[in-house]
Amino acid sequence: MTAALEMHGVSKVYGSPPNEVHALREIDLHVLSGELVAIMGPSGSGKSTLLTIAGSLEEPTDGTVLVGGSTLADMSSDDRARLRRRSIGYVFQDFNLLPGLTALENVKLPLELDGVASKTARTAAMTALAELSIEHRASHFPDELSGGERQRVAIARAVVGNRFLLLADEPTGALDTANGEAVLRLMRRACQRGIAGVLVTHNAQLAAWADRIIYLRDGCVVDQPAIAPQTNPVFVGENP
Amino acid sequence: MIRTRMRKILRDIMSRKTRTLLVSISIFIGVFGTIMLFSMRDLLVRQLEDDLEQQKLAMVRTSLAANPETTVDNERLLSTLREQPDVTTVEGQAVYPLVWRQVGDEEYETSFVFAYSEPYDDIQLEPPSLMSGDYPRLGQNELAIERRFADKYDLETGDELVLRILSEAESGDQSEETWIVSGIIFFPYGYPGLNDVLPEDSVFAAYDDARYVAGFEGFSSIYARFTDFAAAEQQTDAFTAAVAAEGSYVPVLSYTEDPADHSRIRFARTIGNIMASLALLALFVSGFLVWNVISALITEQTQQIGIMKSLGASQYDIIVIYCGIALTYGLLGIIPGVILGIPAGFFAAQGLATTANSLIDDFGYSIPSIALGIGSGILVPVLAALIPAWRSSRVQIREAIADRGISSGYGRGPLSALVGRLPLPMTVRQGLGNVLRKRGRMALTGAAIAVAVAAFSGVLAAFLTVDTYLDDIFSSYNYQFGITPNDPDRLDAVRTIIENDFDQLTLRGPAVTVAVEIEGFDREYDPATGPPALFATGYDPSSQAYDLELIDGQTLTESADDVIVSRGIAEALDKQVGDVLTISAGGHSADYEIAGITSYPLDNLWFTWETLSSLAGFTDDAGNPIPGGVYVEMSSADPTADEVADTLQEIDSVLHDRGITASYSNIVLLNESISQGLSVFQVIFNFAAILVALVGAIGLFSTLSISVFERQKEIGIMRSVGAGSRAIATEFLTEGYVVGLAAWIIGLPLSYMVSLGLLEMMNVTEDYQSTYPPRVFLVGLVGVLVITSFASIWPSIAAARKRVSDILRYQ
Repeated sequence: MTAALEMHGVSKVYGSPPNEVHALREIDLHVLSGELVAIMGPSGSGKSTLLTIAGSLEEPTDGTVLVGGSTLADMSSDDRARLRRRSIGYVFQDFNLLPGLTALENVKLPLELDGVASKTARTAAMTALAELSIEHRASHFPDELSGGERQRVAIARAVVGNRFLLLADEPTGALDTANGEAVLRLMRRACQRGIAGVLVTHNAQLAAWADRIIYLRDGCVVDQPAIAPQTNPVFVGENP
Repeated sequence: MIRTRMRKILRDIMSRKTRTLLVSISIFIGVFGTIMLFSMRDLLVRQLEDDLEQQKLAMVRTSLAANPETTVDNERLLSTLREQPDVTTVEGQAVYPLVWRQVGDEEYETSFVFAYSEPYDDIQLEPPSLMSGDYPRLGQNELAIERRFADKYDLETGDELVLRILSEAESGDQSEETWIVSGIIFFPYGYPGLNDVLPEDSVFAAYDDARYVAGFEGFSSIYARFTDFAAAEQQTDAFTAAVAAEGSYVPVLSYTEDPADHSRIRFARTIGNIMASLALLALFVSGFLVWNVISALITEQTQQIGIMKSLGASQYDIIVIYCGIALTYGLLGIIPGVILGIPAGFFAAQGLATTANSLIDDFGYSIPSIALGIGSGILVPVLAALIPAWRSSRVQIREAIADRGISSGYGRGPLSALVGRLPLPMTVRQGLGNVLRKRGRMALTGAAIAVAVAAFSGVLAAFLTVDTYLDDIFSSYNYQFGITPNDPDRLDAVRTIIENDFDQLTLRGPAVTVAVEIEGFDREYDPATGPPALFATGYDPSSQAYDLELIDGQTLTESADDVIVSRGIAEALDKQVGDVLTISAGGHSADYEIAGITSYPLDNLWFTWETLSSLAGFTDDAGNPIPGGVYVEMSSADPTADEVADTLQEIDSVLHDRGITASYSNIVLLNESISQGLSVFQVIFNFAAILVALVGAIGLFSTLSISVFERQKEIGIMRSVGAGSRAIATEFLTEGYVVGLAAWIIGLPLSYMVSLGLLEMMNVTEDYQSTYPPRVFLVGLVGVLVITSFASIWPSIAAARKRVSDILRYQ
């Protein structure tokens, strides 16, 4: 299997001496297609920074990041924007749906930004919404949706088109347990279709949905325990 | 709470330095413009009121031409006129060309000598005032010079000038005399004669001395004052008839002017009011910006307001905080506005004074203007902030604390739905959608720019129309200058000289110009913007001196007693070709049939010169009509005013050598002078319009910057789903251009009204007032796009540069 995301010796330093903060130190990470990796760690450990660097939203101070085999550092900002439109999906804790757009418009936004014809984008967006069983809410605005529905729309937006990397930053943080599990189930299903997923979470129970868990502390990887297949909830609570 | 409130106000001001700077700059522009332009008006009007002493102003001025059939008797004329009903004062004034040179120079200059029927100390009406030295004494070879003449030629009391004695020139004598400058005079009243006599060309002498050096026959005008202005108006015709009846002179033109409402003061006040109003408009427009900024601040701080209220802050406290912020913006703009506006007003008044035939020497300021600037600078922002502040103070605590800056109706409504369906890129639809969502704020910004468009396009349209108006006037002339010998009997000699000595010149026939009256036509002409009478031109139709565009009828024939009238007169009288007009001049009346109607934009009549001279009484002893002068065309294509002036100087020199003195009318110079005079006003009007445009641009800039600030999260989300810098910038540029284009559409009809007002003020005839040059649409659009681009580009780039990870992490 090919690596959707590779990070080699990635470090990130904020500020300048003597007030510099080392958010990440020499991180190496490979996420394969179809694999769901959970990142855990206490607040300030560098989880979100790792995710934003992986998503090309931020550049590392040092090290190399490859997405789909392409080195981000070699790309122009336009190329990186194109990569985000076509290959990377982002899911946030507070959904980050645009309030002036309906659910459908939010989902087709990256496709339209990429120049896809409106009709084609609409079809693709409706398909994505349907896969997440939220197509009946397509014409609703975000403030007319429940928290769980909003996050499903956010996931639909993150996977619409031919994305191969799904990055989720505390996607269940604003949801109750039931809705949180439902979101993880959807992510898991996306990974089963070949998408590589990276999940940042505090919640060990949710992290258990992942194939691998990486623990971060003070910007360093401190542990990468493998998860026994039988403990993976995907096989317990879900019929793949 | 007061100290806490103050601290919050100052922290809000300091924490958003760029926004504070922009709002304060826009208030500064308004305050600066208001103080400067109102001060300019006040200082100029004050100076003119000082200069033009009301009790010394004439009520009736009658221009005269010496009657060729009789001998001038000034004493008899004055005593006759002093006996007219209600007359209190009558004085005569002579203004004629004077040829002189500085000692040691060879080149002669032509200026004008002023002389009066009364000794200088006894002049009652519009007297020259002595600044230094003495008035010139009779028989002492003395003359006084106007202070601007002294400045122009670097002369002072005691200096000597060499004068050509023109009274002896007719006999072929080339005599010169050296006269001494006895004093420096300030003469603010001006000379409203047919020829413009500039103060820098004015010298003064005792009457008989002036006749000796300038070689004239008699007065060029009579000034009179009556018991009151109503009596003056009532008695003007009788007064003019008395002048004609006395016989020494032919009255060319009589006009009345109310000393309490002098045209020059009125004109200065009107111009000043319009310009100052534009400045006030700029300040008013800055109020929109304050409104927007306070509204945006309140939107940002709704949660804070809720918290403050939950801690016990009253409605009053909330209003005070936000009005306090607006007041601070005002104070930051007022302080530099006052400091710079006061001297700017003085210098502007000083500059404009020269065009109003006045001088402002001592530094001055206008307390009412300063008070108005300060008062408006405080009131406009505070009032602008009052409504959003009041609204914020009424917010419910629970709603405010839970506020996320997005109302539940966000993005809803039929217009939003329509925008959503438009086949446009998503970023453009987002931009349009945001304009609709923030329509109150955008409407205020758009209104500011619409006002700027109206001011700028209106000024442009008005001055382009005036250009067309002047082109239409001056393209009718097929000659560049006219020569009027002081002695009409010498006209044949002048024609012979021109024909024999100047190959490059072509005579365009004899001519005469006379003020006339038409029965039933009583239009009044403002002396501030042109000759205060209706004029008729007599010319030789076969000479083609005029290229009149006839809209009806036919041109004059040489023998017919008919007349061509301009369209304005025909329309005012509802007359057609073939109708008869009763026309009077110089105390005589006759009926004339309208041969043709021309599109010439000014009110004017054209006769054959013989017809007009006969009507006005310009006849010889045998009763045959005699012309006043001759028109001359230069062979060079489109000569400049300077080229014409050089030719005139050459002719003048030749005529003097042959003993002929003459007055000249330089049509090209007249055209250039009017254009230059207008361009001064255009610059000042444009300055005021630019102030408004600047405030509008700052308003848009601030609004978009606020928009970028408020929508950082949206930018972050857009970025996270792959929107590039161009897409983000497009969204904000779209907002700017939508507002700009809407402002352009709204501003155009307003600009038509501004243009109409300006043309009305400049006395441009009604035919032209309704015109609006089509290119103004395009120039206005380009202007709006430029303003919008400048105002939008930085916020758009700022939006595109936002670090998406910071936005999303720390929102």
